[in-house]
Amino acid sequence: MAEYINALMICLQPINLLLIIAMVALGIVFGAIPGLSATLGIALLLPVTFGLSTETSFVLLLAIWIGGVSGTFISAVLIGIPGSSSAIATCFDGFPMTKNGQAGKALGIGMTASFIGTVGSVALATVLSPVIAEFALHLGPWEYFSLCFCAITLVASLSKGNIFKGIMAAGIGLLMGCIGMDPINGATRFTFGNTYLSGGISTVAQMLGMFAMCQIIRDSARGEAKMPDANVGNMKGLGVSFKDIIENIKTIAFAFASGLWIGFLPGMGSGISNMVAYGYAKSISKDPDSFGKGNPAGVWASETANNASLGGALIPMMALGIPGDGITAMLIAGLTIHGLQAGPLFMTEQPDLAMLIFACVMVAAIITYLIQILTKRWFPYILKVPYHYLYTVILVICYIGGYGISNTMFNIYVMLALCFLAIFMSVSGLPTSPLVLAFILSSKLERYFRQGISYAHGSYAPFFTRPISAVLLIVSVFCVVWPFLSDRLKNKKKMAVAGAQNEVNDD
Amino acid sequence: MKMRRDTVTGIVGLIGCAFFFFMTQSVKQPAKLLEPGPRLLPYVAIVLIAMSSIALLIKGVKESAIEEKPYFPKGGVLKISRSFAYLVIYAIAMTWLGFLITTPFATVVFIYDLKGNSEVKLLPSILIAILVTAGLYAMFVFGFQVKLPAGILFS
Repeated sequence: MAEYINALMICLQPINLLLIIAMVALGIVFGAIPGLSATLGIALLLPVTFGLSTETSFVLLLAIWIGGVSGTFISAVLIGIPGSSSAIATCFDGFPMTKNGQAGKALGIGMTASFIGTVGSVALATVLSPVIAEFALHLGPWEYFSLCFCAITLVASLSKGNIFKGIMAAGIGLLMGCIGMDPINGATRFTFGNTYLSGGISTVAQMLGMFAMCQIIRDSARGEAKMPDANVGNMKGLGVSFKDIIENIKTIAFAFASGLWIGFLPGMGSGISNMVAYGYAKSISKDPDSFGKGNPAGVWASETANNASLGGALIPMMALGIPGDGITAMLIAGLTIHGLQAGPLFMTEQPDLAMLIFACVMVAAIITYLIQILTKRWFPYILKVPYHYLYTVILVICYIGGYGISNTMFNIYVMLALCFLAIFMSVSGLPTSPLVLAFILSSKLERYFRQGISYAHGSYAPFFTRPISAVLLIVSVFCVVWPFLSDRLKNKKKMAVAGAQNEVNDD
Repeated sequence: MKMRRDTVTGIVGLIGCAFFFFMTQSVKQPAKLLEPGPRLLPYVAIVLIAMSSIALLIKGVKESAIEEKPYFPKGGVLKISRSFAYLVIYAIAMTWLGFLITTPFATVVFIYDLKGNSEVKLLPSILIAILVTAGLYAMFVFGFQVKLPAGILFS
């Protein structure tokens, strides 16, 4: 508790508070503009943190994360285009509310639901993470390997479209992670005689090239870098009363619980939780037909769930060092830049810094809500920022960031090569999340696997005989097999129905 | 006949696998190891990519009769190639001439390249380019203590 209060005091120091306000505001802008995102904001900020202290770096990164995740509902409500996949379900009722002249109320619900989701989930994450970390200290390399393996297979199997594309992306991530020295013997792999590559591919170069640069030139080539005008009515006041919260309390409670749990599972972040919560809100509604036509419960469900996922994703990141999605992977990369390793040891050996992360997220969530209340009437103007100026500045920042990694031009060329790879992946329909996760986890995965075998004197058995490790491996296998089983079951069911119909027709 | 994107992905994946399989042979494997050694992870990654590539190749061939919606609109491939070329030229120019000289020119080029159907005037663009260069230089060099490339010709 004392550590948490100390951390809170650090966040409330004037300079840190100012940084949080500035970064939250920037994050809201990044979240609100379709095409930009909190992920991109963090990628751009990572190189900035090279010259800053660990505390200040994390204040910057976490504040832009919270602002960015929260801001995604703005474009979903005002123009019907989600700022990211986490606000897809918000469009279903948020935009019809705007068309019905209730933009102010829809934005108010989005703000309040985001606040409830973030604050509640982060409070729980603060309490639960140390307990889980304490337990995780008793795990060996076998369990850690299985955990990393499970995280990668979960993300790969949940990839949109074809599971093979997810697996292929994960494979590319693992191969990229092999570049440089191997973590046990120090043997060099795929360096092609280049000394710059012996340290491996920089995470920052990867993020900037694959996310920022690729997205900008791809969107521009696809003609997606333009926005429709927002049609707003009365924007005065918060637009939400306490009575509204009470009326929707059941929806909010379920959305919160599901968002927290889904956020905890690797690969199943806010992009899924908002849809699950929306589905539930519709199923328990007395008037399900009103969904899609501007029912406020739809916005409550979606926004509470996607922000609750944020706290859920913090738990495995902090307690186990396993990133749940692309954003937490970047935050882990941020820790690595400052010589820190997320996981149970981090929680026990650096409790001050661990608590600073939780406290900063909490303060950022409160400031996000306050800024949104104060600036709500100007939200439509955010969407009027000309893309060509904004994207140009981002591109130049990418080059600065790439150079700043090692003060050489080498990483800029790496960034360009990865941008090319990301364009190819995008055209091929290969998802980037499994690649990022596999790349980040590759060295851990390899180290734990090889350590596990060494400790067992060359035996592979402990991976299957130790209960936690075995359960995680079973889950991983199930994740890969389930899409095929599910397809077969669906086909069988369809054939059975068709057969029954034919029989009825024959009769 | 035009190949489907899955087929192309499968072929590229298999070529990549063959290349990295060959490269993995040159990774030194220490003798008398209790564990699988440094070649393990590359082999695992190669197997995953190869399996997926074959599956995509089969899928692409099976669905070859189904027409595929183009990923880029008309002229999109040319546009993205041009944009990527600008990025590469900027990097090469920055290597030789440094950040301060190249960035204003690159900024104007990027603004025009990314403008789409929007109207852009040259004079404001030049002004924005100078302001962006000066602003970012001041922010990163003086504010965040991040060095910027001086250029081979000037260092």
